[in-house]
Amino acid sequence: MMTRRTTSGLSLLAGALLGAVLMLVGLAQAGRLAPSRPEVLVALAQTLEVEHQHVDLLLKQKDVAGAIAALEALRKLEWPTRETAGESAEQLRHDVYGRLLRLRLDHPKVDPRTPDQLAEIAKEGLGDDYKSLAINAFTARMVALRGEISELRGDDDAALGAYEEALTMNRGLLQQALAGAAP
Amino acid sequence: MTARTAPVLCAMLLLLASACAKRAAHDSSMAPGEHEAAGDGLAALEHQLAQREDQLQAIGIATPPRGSAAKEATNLSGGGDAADATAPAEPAAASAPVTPTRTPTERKPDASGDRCLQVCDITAAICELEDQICGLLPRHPGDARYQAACDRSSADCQLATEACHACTAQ
Repeated sequence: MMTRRTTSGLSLLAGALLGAVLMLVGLAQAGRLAPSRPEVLVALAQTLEVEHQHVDLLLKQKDVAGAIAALEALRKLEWPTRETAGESAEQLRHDVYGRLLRLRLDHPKVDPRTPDQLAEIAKEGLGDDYKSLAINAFTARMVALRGEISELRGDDDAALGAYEEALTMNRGLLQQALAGAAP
Repeated sequence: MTARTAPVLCAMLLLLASACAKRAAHDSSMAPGEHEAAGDGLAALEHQLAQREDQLQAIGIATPPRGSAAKEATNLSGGGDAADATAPAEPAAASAPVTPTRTPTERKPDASGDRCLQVCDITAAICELEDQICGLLPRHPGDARYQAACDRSSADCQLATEACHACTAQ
């Protein structure tokens, strides 16, 4: 009787522990927990802050080619994973790629790229798992840019899908902002 | 709970990053030899960037070689289209849907004015998407999906515009 009760208690405890571990693993996989290496996020944010200032300055000097080249160089960066540096690292990547694509779309004659090449850049920047990210302006912009690129490729259905997706994200951002809870 | 605390943690980290960046900038400005060598803002930024990349490399993150970017930039500047190179500055900021700033935390509203700015930025993005969605209609006349998407985006733009106006009128 005692053994059965003990076994039952242990099973309950083990079940609870397993549940807790699975929850933690799930949260960690979703990047919603603190990054495992926060110093990576700090260093990344510092680097990008300076890079963006660099690009700002180049654009102020009307050096669009230089600005594009500086952002292109960031594509070679070994971007940290969500597990390592959290969701913010991916959002920062979307910011960089979004800025690059905006410049490329606005200045098609500078170091030209074909629509297919632009689509490849967009795919590379967005990553495979962007839909699981918390709603944010950078990802919304990237998705809208993907729509523009789809238009350039003559794929209006894909463009409409991307625009609608971006619109949904912005709708959510507006709701958050109106509620005073936007990130 | 965890999902709520994560952005706060990130915000703290980014604030720390900003503070460190300011300190680094201050440190570099305090070194007279370095500052003179930098010559202009661009050189100073490149110096800071090199420092940041060293930090990244120190914690195991590979960074692109500095020389290649500069060389690429020089090559592009030389061979780029003159008309584009003299286009108005900051096209990214001007045409970005939500005018995303440099880091997500910078957009965090800390006053009603900031919140209204954010609402109106999002409104601009929504209305730009409306233009893009409805701009597809002429190529797809009679297509119910395109028409419905245009109608919905127009309603979204109108609603967002009202929210922006209401916010700024307060």
